[in-house]
Amino acid sequence: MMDYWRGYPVIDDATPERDYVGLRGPDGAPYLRGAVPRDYSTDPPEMFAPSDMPVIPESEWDARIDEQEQLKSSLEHVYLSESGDSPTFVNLDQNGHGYCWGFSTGHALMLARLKANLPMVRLNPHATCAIIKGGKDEGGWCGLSAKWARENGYAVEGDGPGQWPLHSRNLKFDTPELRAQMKLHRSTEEWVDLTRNVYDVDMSWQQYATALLTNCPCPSDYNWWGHSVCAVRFIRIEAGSYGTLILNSWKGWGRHGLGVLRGSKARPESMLSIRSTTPSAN
Amino acid sequence: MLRKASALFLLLALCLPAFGQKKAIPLKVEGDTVVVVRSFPCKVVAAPGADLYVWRVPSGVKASDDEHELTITSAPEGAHQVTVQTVTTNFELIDGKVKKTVVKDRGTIDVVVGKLPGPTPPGPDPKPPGPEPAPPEPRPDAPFAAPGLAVLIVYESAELAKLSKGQLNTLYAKSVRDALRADCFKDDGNRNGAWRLWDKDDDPKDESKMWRDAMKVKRESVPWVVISNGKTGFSGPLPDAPEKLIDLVAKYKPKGGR
Repeated sequence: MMDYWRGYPVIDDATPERDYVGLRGPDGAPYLRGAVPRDYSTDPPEMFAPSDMPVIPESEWDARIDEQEQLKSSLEHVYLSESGDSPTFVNLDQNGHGYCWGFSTGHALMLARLKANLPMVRLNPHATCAIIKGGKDEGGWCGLSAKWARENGYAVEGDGPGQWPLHSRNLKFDTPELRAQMKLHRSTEEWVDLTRNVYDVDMSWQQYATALLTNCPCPSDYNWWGHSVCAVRFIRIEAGSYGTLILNSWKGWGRHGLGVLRGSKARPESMLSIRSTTPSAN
Repeated sequence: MLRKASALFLLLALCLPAFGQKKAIPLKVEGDTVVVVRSFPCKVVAAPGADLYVWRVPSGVKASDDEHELTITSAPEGAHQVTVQTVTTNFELIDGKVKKTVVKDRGTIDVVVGKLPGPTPPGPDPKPPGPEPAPPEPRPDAPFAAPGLAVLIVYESAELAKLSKGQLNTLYAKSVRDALRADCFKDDGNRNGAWRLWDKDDDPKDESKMWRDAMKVKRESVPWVVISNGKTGFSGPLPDAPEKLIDLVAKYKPKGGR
């Protein structure tokens, strides 16, 4: 039976695999994934510059989490800031292609725009993934989509000129107009490759907590899940036990697309953090 | 005498400059300007010659495009930003090989839809002369031009962990977001209130002129806040508590509205 924390489903070390793999949505469609472990032979550590970020020490985590609750100042609160604690946008839906590795970055870009109070646009990560993979339904890792987000930007979902239709992999939509529109939605500041310190796992966890405690969304890949999602908030589930609130790209999953990862399940193998995105009027 | 007069006239005629047909000289106004549209349809014209023109207008503005010309048929009153992106593809034969280059350009113009005062028509009973009207109230400079209350907060996203707890809380507290949403003016580009929270290195070239100007306001440090209501405003360090920022912004709320 699935555990719940404040209405969010919880996945931890005791959660059976059947509760997070092979699931289907309310419409019966399967929930797909698509994250593959980073191949360091093709994506070496030098792919990104090392992360040099000041960190919030663990001794301050509880006080900061308590303040976020008191002031409703976390990215979770920003996301659920419509009346009745409703989400400001419906979570993106990747199904049915294994493009989670593009959707985690897409969610991060939308949350970064929301945080900056930029006009809402609904991004379409299918464009990014289809173009990178030549139209094929193939897995990847969040670093690939983040690199694309930095260099090219993300497309807007839609059927108009310069937009990319929902769930399409047809490269005919990769037009000069699309590329011009993509440029309006790029990541401009990131902490990248938070896993670079592969021999210092504790530092990576501190960096991850710092990014989330300062409201910087984190595209994150989990090998145990074969899935990539966007981490939204660093939370305390109970005294001394921390986890992350994640935004999934599965339609109808969790509470507004949100769920909790706890224990070893909360620690991703690949992660980065998007701090800001292109200030654009649309 | 007449012969002398004729000769003089002929001499003058030869010396007088020849006045040809007048031609219109294109002019442009430089500085802090906007384009005001009084009636529709109106046209926004880009330079011809590109291979592709992609026009974008805000929702609520009705327009149709024909290559380098955009015809606006209706738009609500207020400020609207029109953008065009162009793509030009060139092919050159170099050393027997065809080389393709693609040039992308962008143009932006702010268009204001509204009424301008026309000339006062002469009436049968012109107003009798009265006392001199009072001089306009002096207006201290606003940090940037704005049609209502607008707020820009600038910070360094790489240094968020170094901010005081008070400053970090001020950036993200729900009470601040709610106050800004309620008090700042709203239009197509600012539906949740005219306020922004930007990294100091963000380039707002794809934002409206108002926000581009707001970002240019000089800052001595970060985090920094710039407030304008179009008449007056504030520019200084971000207060270190949410309620202090809310109180500061409230001072510049235009009386009787946004």
